[in-house]
Amino acid sequence: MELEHLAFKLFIAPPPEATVAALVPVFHSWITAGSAEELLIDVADYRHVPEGPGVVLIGFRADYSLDHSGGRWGIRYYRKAPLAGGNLDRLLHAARATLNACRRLQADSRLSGGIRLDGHEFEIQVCDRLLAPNTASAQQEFTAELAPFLERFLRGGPYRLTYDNDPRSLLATRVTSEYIFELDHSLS
Amino acid sequence: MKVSNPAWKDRLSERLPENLAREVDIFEAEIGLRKQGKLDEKLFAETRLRRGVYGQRYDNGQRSDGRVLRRLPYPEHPSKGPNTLWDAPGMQRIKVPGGGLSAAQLETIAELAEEYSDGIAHITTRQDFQLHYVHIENTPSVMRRLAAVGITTREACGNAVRNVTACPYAGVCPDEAFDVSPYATRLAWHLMGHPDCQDFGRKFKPAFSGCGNHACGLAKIHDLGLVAVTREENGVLQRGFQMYVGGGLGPVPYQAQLFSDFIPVAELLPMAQAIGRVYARLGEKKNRNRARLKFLLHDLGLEKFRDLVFAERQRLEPDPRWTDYLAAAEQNQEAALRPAGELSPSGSEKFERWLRANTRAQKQPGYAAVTIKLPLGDITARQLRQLADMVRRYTCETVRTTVEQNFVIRWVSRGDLPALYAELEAAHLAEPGAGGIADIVSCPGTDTCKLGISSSRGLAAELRRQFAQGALDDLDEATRKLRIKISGCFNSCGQHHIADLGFYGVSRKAAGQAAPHFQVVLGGEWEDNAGAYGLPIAAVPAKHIPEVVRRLTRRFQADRQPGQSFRGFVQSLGRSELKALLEDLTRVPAGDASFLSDWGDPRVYSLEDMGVGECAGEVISPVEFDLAAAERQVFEAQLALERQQPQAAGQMAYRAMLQGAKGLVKLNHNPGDDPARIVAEFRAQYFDTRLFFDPFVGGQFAQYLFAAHASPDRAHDAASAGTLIREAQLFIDACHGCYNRLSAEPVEA
Ligand code: SF4
Repeated sequence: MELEHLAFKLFIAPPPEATVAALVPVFHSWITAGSAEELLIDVADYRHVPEGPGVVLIGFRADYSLDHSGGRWGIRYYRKAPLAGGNLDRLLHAARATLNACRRLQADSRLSGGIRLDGHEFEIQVCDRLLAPNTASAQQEFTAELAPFLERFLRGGPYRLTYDNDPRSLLATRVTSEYIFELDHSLS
Repeated sequence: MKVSNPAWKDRLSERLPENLAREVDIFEAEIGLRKQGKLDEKLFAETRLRRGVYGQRYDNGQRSDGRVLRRLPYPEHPSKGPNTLWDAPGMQRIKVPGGGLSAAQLETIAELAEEYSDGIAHITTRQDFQLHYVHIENTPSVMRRLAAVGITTREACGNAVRNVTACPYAGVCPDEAFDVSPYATRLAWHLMGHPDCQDFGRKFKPAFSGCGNHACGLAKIHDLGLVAVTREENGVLQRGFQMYVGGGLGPVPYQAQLFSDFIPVAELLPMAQAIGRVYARLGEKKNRNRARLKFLLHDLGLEKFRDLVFAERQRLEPDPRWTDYLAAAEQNQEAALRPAGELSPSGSEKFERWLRANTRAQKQPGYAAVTIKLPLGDITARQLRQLADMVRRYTCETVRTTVEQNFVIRWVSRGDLPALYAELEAAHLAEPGAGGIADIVSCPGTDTCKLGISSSRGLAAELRRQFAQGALDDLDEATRKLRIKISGCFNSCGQHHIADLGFYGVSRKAAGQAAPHFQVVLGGEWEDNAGAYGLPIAAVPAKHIPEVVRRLTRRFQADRQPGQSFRGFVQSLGRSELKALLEDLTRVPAGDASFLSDWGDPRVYSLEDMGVGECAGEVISPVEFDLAAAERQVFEAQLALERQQPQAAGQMAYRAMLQGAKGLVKLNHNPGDDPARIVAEFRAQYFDTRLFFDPFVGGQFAQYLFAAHASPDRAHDAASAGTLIREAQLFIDACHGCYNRLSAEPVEA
């Protein structure tokens, strides 16, 4: 299974409305600063859509968002362009990018401390139904592919994977762990 | 861009209709050729547009951060059209004839939104879908996956026959003459790629309506408007259409003219072909701004146009497809999944409120059509799947998109309404107030459209937010039924001309800086198939528009006569009074920097994202006085027209244009008051040099001045004076735009 076009979402506590609104200028400033790893292009504001993509920073190779899909808030990184390397490299890349974004948002005073990491849960999606359909066998394969990554990310701690079994959905799993991962996770 | 792109072709090879598969293969080959530089960029641009692959804001590789225009460092590739970078994300438009969709089609659009876009599918004012931020190299996969469920993107954009729209209640509406759905569907597929419709200078939009008096089909704002009628011949009831031609919104709206009061259904397709042939042969090709059918009709006159079309009709070789569907069309009747039912009182005020506004009794007893009101026409992939489940559970998959950017589920047993409501509510799709003041229609505007001047979606979102926080609480039922429609610029994609309260984006200077504004257009008519257009009142800073809405709605509520429509109210109040009501709101408050940013966009406002800015050196402020004077003269012309003085009104509109032109010429030197000299110098300095050219409509608005100047003393009736006033307003808006561009910063190196 090729794990391309990954989305990584770190769940956060529901942010105050003011934080979500303040994110719009923050993301605009990221484009201006041009300091993120990817070429950033635009901000799409979907605050009017209930349980939607929230506020999305559109990039050329990847998007970042304060996402509210499925009714859970989280910082989401979605890698659109292919990545070199194997599946572990791609997972590490997505996780690092998400952690970096999260760190940057938490440090931004304009968001008034409104981004608070859950620390126990996150979600990994494969946004390509041809590479990774949401079938029982693909879920099994995905579980196996994730193991080495989760071993590193959760420092060997136990975890539980939960799948949504609607075959129409993207292949995605919610990872729950006792271990509290930190934003300064080195992923080494 | 997607790793899976090459594999979709094989995966779907068995499921694609041959013609659609071929179409996508050709387009994919053209992508390859263009990447190798073997296909001309203009040719490629038109070919991709004809597949619905559209440009999007910032795709010229530049983006203003509010201070300077910066380059977006995309990888180097051939362009995908003039000023359009290969790797810049674009928009994919998806054609949905008559708005009709199956559950599987909803699910496919959901998949595409998740995998290739940003998770949102957007419904347009012409019943299409749009996906944004799509990479061009993913579009063949998008098209194949759509084709596998019977959807095409062919001719969704470009100089072609666009989506055929139809009343979403066709077949279930108690007032219709007959169900127009099968005729709309057939027309759509018949004209798609038809040789008679391949050589147009611009787009061509058809629309069907089941009756003449309601709004649903909006026949009169279309190039080809078809209103169902019947008549008796030899004791047999015949189906046919009132055929309207040459309507269109755009900067200057034109009402369609009645071409025939009865075209039998058997003549629908050949007559449409004949119109296509005349339009292809005689329509303007070089000047895009005069290339719509409405201009050809204007130039030829209805009688001449009609003669040409009938002559062309005689020349057509008979085609069995013209009639082979008619027997089935007569019998066409969607089925219900569930038995008809009745509703018992629920005791829930919330449910009753939704029931009143969002459901409509069908002509078939015991069934209802249910409207799903979408915020700004947006729906998530997950919601699309939930909707697919619902339309399977309660109906035979009878769901349509609407021109108000909503969905209508038809054939819901009234007995199922509480259960359906509960499911819609769980999916966040049960917002009440469909078709009312909070069901705001908006084009994409500056969010994604390259032509956007102001943020129509930002304004719509802000109005929705204020309404949700209680801004509507003191309004009565009639006031809550008013309609708000917003366009990001004069091109009218948000259909502001036919709203009670319409707004379109314009820019104005405030204390030397550009500020986002909206032109307020009041009293358009939605009913009667969009029977009348609204009146422009004043340009107001974007940040004052919520207050404009508040004042107008309160005034309507307090002062209208019993039963009076908003249009009637606007007419009885008169422009002077309306302008006076809004006068203080037309100014940007001194020192308030928030007015220099648009709704939902924190950047300092600028027009530079529309195109490359130019530095014209020193900006001389007196031009603003001239432009203000020109605006005043347009207003006076409107008053003269109201006083039934069309001759004076027309001449004032012409003088207003001269004043605006003079203002710009004075940036260099004062040309005096001689009209010939003003026009000559304006032409030499701004038109011939293209400085006046809007990055996207070119010199169209200057032509209004030149045409008026060519016959300054011509006789005016109310219609021609009204047109000239609208043209004058657009010309002056363009003068403001030109002035703003000239005083913009240069591109940062
Ligand atoms: S009205 Fe203007 S801004 Fe809105 S979609 Fe049309 S062209 Fe773009």
